[in-house]
Amino acid sequence: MPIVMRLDRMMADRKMSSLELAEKIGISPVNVSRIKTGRLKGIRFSTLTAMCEALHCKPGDIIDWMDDDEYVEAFGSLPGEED
Amino acid sequence: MTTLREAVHEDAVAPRPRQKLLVVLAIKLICVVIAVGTGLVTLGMLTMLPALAQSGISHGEIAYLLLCAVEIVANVAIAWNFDLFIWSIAIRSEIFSRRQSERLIVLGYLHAFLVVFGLLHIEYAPPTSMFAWFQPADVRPELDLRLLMFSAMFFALAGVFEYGRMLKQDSSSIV
Repeated sequence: MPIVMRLDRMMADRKMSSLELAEKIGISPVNVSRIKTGRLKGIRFSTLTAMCEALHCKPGDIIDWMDDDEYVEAFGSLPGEED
Repeated sequence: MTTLREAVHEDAVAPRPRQKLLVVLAIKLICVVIAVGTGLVTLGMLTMLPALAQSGISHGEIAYLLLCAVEIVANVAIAWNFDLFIWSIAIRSEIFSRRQSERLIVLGYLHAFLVVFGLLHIEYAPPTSMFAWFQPADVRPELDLRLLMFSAMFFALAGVFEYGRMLKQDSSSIV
């Protein structure tokens, strides 16, 4: 049951760069990149709030959920099975 | 904004960097002196063995000297590891890392080894004229509860440090 991050899509919709978003929400661009790729264990509510404020969106616009079949269809393999 | 009273209190509680450095250097000096001193004694004992064997020393006495050397080497390893542990915390600010947990586990094992070694020690009364400079008393198997307690403490500390390392890792993967 993978969680899928839609931050890159929202940033493209709002025409906002990683650096700009990082400055607005007060985290490093590296961490923005980690959120975009989903390579982390969790996001603090404070970070999520700041992202929603900066992008004028809801948490559901940034974070999505797919079942395994949908995920495999979209990305080829489940997270952690890439190797 | 901190008041003068709070500032004075913080100053009294938190050690100043210079004091911290002095304490760490003192610990390092003690550990180095112990390590070098015991290392030299061991080396002296080992180089003395052929001469003692030629002068008619018994096999029991040679075995006793070898056992003492092993015990001293274990003590040097303990001093060395403890020094590295303290040095990493104070100078490199490396607290919760895998290496620190491993150092504590090694310290636990070395203490456990000394406890077992004490139980296996051969019963022997060294001639005081020859060995008075490092161990004049009779040697017999004994359970050193103090070392056993230290061993358990180091294993428990290793567990605490490993848990801290995992918490730190978890914390840095939450943005």
